[in-house]
Amino acid sequence: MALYVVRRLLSLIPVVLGMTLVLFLMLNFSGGDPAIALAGDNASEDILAVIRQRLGLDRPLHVRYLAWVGGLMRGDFGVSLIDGRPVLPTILHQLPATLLLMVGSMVVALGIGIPTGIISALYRRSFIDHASRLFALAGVSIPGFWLGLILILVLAYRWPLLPLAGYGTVRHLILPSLTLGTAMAALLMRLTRASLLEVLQEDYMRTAYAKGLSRAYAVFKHALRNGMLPIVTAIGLEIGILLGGTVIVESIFSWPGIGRLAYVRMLQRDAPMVMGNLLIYGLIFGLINLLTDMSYAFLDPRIRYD
Amino acid sequence: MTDIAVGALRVPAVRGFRSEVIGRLRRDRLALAGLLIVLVIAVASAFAPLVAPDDPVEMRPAERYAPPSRQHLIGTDFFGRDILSRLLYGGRVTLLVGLGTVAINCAVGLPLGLLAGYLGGRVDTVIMRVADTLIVFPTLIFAMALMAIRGVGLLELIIALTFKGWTPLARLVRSEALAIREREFVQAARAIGASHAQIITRHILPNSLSAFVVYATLGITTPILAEAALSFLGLGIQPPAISWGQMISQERNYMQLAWWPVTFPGVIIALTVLGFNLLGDGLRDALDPRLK
Repeated sequence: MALYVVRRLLSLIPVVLGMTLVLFLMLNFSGGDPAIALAGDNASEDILAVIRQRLGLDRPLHVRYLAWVGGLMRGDFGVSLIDGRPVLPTILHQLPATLLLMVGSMVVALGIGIPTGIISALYRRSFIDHASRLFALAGVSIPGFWLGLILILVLAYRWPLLPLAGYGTVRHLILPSLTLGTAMAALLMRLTRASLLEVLQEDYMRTAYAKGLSRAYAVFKHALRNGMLPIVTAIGLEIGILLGGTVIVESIFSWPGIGRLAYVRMLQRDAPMVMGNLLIYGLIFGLINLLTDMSYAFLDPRIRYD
Repeated sequence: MTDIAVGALRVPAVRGFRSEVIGRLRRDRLALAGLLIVLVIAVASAFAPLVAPDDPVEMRPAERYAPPSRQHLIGTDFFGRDILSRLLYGGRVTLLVGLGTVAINCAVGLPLGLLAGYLGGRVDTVIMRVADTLIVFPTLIFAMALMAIRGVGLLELIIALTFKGWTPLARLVRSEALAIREREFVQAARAIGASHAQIITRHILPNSLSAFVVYATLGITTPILAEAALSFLGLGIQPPAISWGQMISQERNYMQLAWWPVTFPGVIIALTVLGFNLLGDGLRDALDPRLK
């Protein structure tokens, strides 16, 4: 197992290197000139030359790339064009809010998706089953930002039960988490139902009933344990999508996380800050994938670690 | 299905693959509902100049926020414009962006997937590594990083919608190609001297067509939702062009005054995505039950 963990960690290296390569190419070949961005459109060629030299833009490309990656490894993500402060500390300062939002959304997704999926599978073709399948269809089709606005319209304006934006208390967390977590709840519900329906037909379930186990015991001790394996992989993939959704939810609810930071700074054309954000998002995504793989191997003893 | 009697044995008559698929699809009521939704929205948008009850851009401040009525079925917006008419015209942009994105994704993903799966080896490794790398970037953040450097624009929107959109199809086609490559009929073709190009176009491609059709149908929902989100943030389709996400964006600050300008564009986005989802699920079950 330890060897497997190490090997998976090592497999992250090419992906991270690939990420830095993509970012570097974007920074250097997508038409924007950082010197002009700093000095303004009508700066003289002399001034631009000085800035280029100071930024190291006059050095050959591979030297610049290596220097840049070296800086990243030491935590030097560059400096904001807007307030001149280093990028990484600013992002790390706002990261906890985003992680909190993701935890809240996970609670919504798991709390709604898995129980309804189980009930749906156990009481197939009942009213509850039809209702939750309808919810699953709607949940994956509704745009997240629109759901957020409708929730604000209903629960903050029409019946002012919850704050419409802001940060600080559990009450502030509810609407953003519902907005972000609903689509994932719908997907998890669908998956749980399908997976459990499959497991319920297995021979070992018949054996369990035959040896006199109650339905509840058989379902919880045998069916759920086996039926949950595909769900774990799905949760990992879904957290990645959740991560991507934080930008828009944070923007709607003025949530002070890194997604809103990226949006606000993007509007100000603060390229280093937004690029730093992109890198952090990518790293978190990679880590989530890694943890998913490992938890899967951990939960299913049939998977070999070598 | 009529059976042919062969001696004492009754052998089911072989039906064409196409009629079998159509038969399965016709029995799937949800898939038919999806097809109907998609057709109605697509046709109504395509013929927007004929169908739309009103001009989508003319501003009439006197009619600001007229609630739904006989004259304006789903009301008017801040500038007194008929929302239904704007939805119809906006549908053209939204569907065009969706179709265009899927076309680009297919044009990139299909050949790369075929090459990776059929050739294997180093080509496969490189293509799959690039795919592994690109999928870690969330679309919206990637779009913002790109636009922070280059500014907001249509080209930037298209890049943002397609930079990793090709990876799911490439993966799907790759795994199909991998499986088909080892089948006897491919070995036979190779034995009688067929070239790589012939094997790919005659055998591998037709056999991965099911996966391809399903991807194209389900895959259109991703760019539709992403375009809506980007336009909502002001980074997508710019006025005077109309898109559903942008309509919501312009009205969100006034939604306390009028709920309809924000609500209906969202409903139509959800319906469109729902339609494609139902149709795609149905196609998948009808074309290839294994893909489930």
